[in-house]
Amino acid sequence: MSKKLNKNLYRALLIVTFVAVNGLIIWGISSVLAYLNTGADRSTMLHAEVINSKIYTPKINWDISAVEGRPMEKPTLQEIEDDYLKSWYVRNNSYKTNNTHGIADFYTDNARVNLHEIIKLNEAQNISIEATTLHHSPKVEFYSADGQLVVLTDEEVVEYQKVYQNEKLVTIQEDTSAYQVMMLLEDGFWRIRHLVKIPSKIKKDSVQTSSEIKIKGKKLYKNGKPFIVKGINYYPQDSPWDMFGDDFDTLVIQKDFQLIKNQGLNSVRIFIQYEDFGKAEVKPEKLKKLKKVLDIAEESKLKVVVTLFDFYGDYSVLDWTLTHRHAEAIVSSVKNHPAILAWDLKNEPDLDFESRGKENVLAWLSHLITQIKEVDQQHLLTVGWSTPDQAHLLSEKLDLVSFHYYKDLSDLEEDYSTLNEKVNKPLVLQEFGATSYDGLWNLWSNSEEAQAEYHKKMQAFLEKEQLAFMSWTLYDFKKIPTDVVGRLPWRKARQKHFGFINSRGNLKLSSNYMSY
Amino acid sequence: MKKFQLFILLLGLAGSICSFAYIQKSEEAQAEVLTEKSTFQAGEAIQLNFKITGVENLKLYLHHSFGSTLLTESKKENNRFTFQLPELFSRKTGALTWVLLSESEQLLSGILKIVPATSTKTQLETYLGPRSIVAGYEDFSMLVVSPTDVYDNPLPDSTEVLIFKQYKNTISEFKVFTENLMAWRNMMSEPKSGIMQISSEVNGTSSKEFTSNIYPSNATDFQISFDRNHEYADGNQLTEFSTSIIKDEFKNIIADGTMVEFLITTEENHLLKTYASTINGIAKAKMLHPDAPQTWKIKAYIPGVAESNSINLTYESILEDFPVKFSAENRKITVGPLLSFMGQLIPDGAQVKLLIYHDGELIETKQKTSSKGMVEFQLAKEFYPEKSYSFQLKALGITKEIRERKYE
Repeated sequence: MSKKLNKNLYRALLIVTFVAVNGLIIWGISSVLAYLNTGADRSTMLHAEVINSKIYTPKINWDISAVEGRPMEKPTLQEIEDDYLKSWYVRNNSYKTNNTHGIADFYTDNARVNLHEIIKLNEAQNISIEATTLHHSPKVEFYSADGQLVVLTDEEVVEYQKVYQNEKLVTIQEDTSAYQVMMLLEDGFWRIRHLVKIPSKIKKDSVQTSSEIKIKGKKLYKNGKPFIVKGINYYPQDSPWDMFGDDFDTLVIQKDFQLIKNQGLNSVRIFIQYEDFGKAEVKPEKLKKLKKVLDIAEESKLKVVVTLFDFYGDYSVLDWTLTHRHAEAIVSSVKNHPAILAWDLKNEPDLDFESRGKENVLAWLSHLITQIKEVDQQHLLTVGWSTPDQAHLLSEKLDLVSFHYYKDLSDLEEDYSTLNEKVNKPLVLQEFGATSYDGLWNLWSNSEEAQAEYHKKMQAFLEKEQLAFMSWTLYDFKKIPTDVVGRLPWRKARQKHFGFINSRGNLKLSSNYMSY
Repeated sequence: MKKFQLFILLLGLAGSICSFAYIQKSEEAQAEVLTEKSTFQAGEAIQLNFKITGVENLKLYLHHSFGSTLLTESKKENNRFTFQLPELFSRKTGALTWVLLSESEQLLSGILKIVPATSTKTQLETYLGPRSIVAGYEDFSMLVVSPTDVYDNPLPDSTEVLIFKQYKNTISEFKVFTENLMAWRNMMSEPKSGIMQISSEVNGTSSKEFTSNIYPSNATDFQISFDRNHEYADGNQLTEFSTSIIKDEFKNIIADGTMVEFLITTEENHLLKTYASTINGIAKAKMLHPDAPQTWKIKAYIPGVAESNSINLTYESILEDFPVKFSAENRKITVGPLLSFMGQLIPDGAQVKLLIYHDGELIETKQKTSSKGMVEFQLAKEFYPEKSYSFQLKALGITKEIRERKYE
């Protein structure tokens, strides 16, 4: 019996092994054949995959008013623009990494030699250059009859370069030059043939400010009368940090703004998330929502401080042009809206100093100021610094100095006067508040009374100093996104209870002290 | 006394500290460019000399047409620092920005101008296009000449460029000047088709020769004629249509291969088309004769460009009548022999139609082609059970009526 079983077992084993071995052989042959069948993908052959369109978007203004040789066609100009900007992109990229990837596509044989040699030289010296160009004003001088050759004079190339040696930052250079460029159309690419840097002839006009709100000394004036910003940081109760998302509801915002107005306030601060709004390609539906919010504010007679670049944190030089296009799209689409009081470039950028480098963050901000001023000279610019210690930074370039205060009130007077002496611009206490969270994580140590006491004291101080303010915030929130304060439950719990109105929609004690 | 000594000592100490600090400060301010020259020829070695005191760790940042770099001094003697610019920077023209740095502090900066090495042998890059143009006074090939020095730098504006053009027996010379990295000229076409050869010369360096083909211009209106073996509508012979020699406005024979479309309008207003392309200005197209007497109206076109006169062409009938024979109890109808214009059997394939009527109503149309001049129709009893039928026969434009025939 057992012998028979054994025999059957052997048989089964043999058959299974046979099938398995055959399977393996077939699999092996098929994978060899599959490998041999993989050829060059067409897209890799044409280098179409190397760079897709939206990674480099410096501002570019074409002048085709006086083209010699042949009139310039729009589609060709678009192709030239693409390839011309890409030539700068691959060049900047190569100087950063010291490899020549992509150079061959955008420079002719004779021209690329120059780049290769400089890259070799820099590599030997361990030099790497992080660079970007922020602005181009190419003028088409000549376009040949056969459409194969074009000569440009790029009259205003704003170059920003950070030069590193042995991984240490040596210098930051900003330079505005003009370039004479000859490009040839070779196998579908417009390639740089000649590139000659010449001194720029363009002189920039000085920026003029004209707005309903004017600054005289350290005070704001609205239509000639002193104007003190009395405001609040606003998110709808059900969609904190996602004001323009799927839950966007104009009725809710209308009700809230009316409530804010009725509490004696005159302005709100709202936030625009960088990715939510579509990065460099700003989504039109988001702009529509933003315009609606501004319309509602205008109806409620509230002024709006729009905070840009919320949740943005890259700051790398090659990312700059994308953020510039983002800001430009938003600012230019609503710059004529009467409800706008100021653009807040970024919320608490000083918190990124450690992880991203103070230099990087400040350089990014200061170029952003230039970019926004180019589009909108009417509205005030500010940056919402997280503490008064940092708030003097860039104050020369900004119109308002904004700072946040979450420390103990006992130091406020001193901190404020130090800052006030340091800067020569109007000040705004742009965020402050206290949580009324009363639970396990702080051992039931806070209360609504304590919060009310805090705001009472704060308002007394603000009134004494006649200081502009924007409190944090209207509502207690039910949910806090992880991006705001991290995952830790005690932080989230605390953050939920900064409002003047609790989660059930009732006014808290502190709401008696929303303004002075 | 002791107190006084201590005071003096302290005073002295303070003084020395002060003066030390003062020297430090004054030394920082002392950075000076010694190199006065600010314009260099490409390829010329460039040295920048500085007199610097009190600072260490100097770097020279260079920013030029194709990129940037950092340099350390190549020579240091006392307070004199020499920076030797790399050849790849000194050989490219343009504005070279330099910035002298010490520990990321900017001490001095300046701009050098590097001009093309015009004394070196000129190199020429020449582009001619389009290379196929049409005769006349409007079309042209554009010549773009981009002269460079040996370091591949474009020569300065207003460099003289000579252009030569050879066409048939004349050689002409033009003078243009560079602007925006190159010089250009439109080389105009000539009224006679042919070959135009172009070359250029800058500072004694000659380009290679370029050729531009001048093709005949657009065709002008033309005449057509026909040729046929006979005038009979036999549905078998071919009539050949041909154009006159088609020329452009400058009397150049138009380019071979130009497509000509012959449009034939029949008496019934049907359109027939035939095509041919030209050889030596003549296009020849053929069309089968109609199989019934016809008058055709023919006109030829080069679509969108030119057209011909219109001609009429009449085809005569090849026969006046044909025999019809009924047999096998009227169920077999034999048509023929069909005889042509000389009494010969007509070529196979002529169409014969039989229309069958019953009580004045058309029941069926049968169609057959002739073979050896004969056509035969069978009317099977199973399909045509009626007692009487009448017929109509049509062949080569002739119609014959056959009165009622009886059937069993």
